[in-house]
Amino acid sequence: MAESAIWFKDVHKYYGKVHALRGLNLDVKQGEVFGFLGPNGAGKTTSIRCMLDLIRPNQGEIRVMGFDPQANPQRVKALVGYLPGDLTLEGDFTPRRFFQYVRRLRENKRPWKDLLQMADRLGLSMDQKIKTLSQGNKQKVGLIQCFTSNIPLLLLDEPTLGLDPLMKQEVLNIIKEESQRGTTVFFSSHILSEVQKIADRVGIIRKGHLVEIAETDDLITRSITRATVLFADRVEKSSFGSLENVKFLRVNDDRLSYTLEVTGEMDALIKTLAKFPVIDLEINHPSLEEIFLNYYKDDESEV
Amino acid sequence: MFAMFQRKLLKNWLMILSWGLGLGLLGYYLFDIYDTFFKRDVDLMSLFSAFPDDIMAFFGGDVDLFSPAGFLHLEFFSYMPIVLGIVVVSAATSLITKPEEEGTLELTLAQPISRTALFWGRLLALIVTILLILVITFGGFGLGLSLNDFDLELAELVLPFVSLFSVLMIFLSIALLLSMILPTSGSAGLAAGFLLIASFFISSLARIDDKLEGINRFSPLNYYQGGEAVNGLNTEYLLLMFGLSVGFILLAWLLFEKRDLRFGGSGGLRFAFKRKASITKK
Repeated sequence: MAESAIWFKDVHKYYGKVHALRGLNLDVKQGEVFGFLGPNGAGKTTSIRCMLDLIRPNQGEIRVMGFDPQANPQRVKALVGYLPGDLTLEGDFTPRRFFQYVRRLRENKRPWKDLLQMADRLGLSMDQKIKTLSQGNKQKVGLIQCFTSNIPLLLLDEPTLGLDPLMKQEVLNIIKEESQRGTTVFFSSHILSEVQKIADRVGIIRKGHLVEIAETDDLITRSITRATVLFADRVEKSSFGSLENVKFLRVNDDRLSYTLEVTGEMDALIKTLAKFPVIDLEINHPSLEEIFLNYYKDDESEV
Repeated sequence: MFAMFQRKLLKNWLMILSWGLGLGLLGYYLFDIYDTFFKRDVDLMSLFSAFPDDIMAFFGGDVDLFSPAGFLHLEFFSYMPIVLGIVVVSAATSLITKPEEEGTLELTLAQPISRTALFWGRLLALIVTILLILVITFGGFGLGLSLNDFDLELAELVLPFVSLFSVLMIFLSIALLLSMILPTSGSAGLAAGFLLIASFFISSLARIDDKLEGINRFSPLNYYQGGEAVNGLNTEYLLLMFGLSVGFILLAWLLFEKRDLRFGGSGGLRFAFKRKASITKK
């Protein structure tokens, strides 16, 4: 816990009769980029709001950068840059005035030129009233205000919402750069390709509790892989022996081509294939999306 | 807290100027009206005197309508609790819960400021807004007074404004408290507005119907002196009004401190009163 940026222990949160968080346990290390995945209503935003004492859990413990958000809300908030998922800004501000206002509320201010550079990089006009900005530009304002002071933790709830693909990429680059500066990044998303691009670790939340937590690469590697192999000569199915983690999905009649599903390590299969003359081998790792959907397939079947 | 105060006060500048100057102008011309209609037109005085006592009591109580105090009450202070009361009730119910429901408070409270600082900063800005409106209005009255032959000292003119401020504060605090208890700012505004109007009618009708005297004791406007205050403020009434206002405000603050922030009107009676205490194992 000492090195944790975010730590949840058996956290429960009720909204009336709705049990939004059901014993959530979470441990995010300092300096990592953590992707928090889950569909709408899974508890992502509730978890983030609990970290900032905007709402309070009914049971359990939370620590953010070592502090209890309920006991030390200002201390926690001074260490966190937060982008809400349902971002609403006061429309009578211009981005310039808004950043000045937020900077005034914060200590350990970041140089003003950093904010100007970021606005320039994201193509944000600083002197237009916020109420006249598009949703994408408002999102940029929300993102840049996170950087008004030097903070060790970024909490980003759907950071690329409403942005065009180019801007999405730019925002992901900014997050990566912040991470390289040593900032811990905790971001929720349901755009899995983004999480896959930048997250060191991924947590999947389902119905208010964590169903999976793993390094992104590891999660992809240790899950089901699809392999298509083309042999130079006919190879009988029995020649594969008893590979416990391999399932035959499709076997061509000519016994030259096989489509296989491998769970976990590929080592045993590769060694077996090496005994035969292989013309081509195509390995398809599942996307995070496929893995993610796998955790939710029960919900889908319920629907 | 100062940043919250300053921000809210700056947002209210249009409200301060429009209401302050509008009412100030009205005050300025009231003295002309007094001069023209009440001092010179004896027929009009006879006409008013011919009105049934009950009707006159409804609008002014037992005060002499042709005295400076009675005139000020009839022409301005009798209906100001309703006019400014609606403005104050609307502003108070929107003070915290409106930005909460709109979602702007989420980002503000994610900055390193406490709920207490936000609450008191915004509340102080609203109180200063009301005071500035009254000060500008008083300026208009003062100017009118100085330019006309009216049997009243400037210092005496301050007193009905103090009485008006006390009654506005009680409705501000009730509206603020209701906004913390009821599910939405809209429902709180309706409830507080209803109390304001009901209080006006109860206090007015109680002067002509003794049966209402019992319930009138609970009506804030029963403790409002209006124009009559030029003859001296009832300090007991003032202390009662300000004391209750402080009590209601403190209660509203405690409720805001303890409850979850509302998101998209998620608040409600259930959330305000029955929120389970957080169990944080240390």
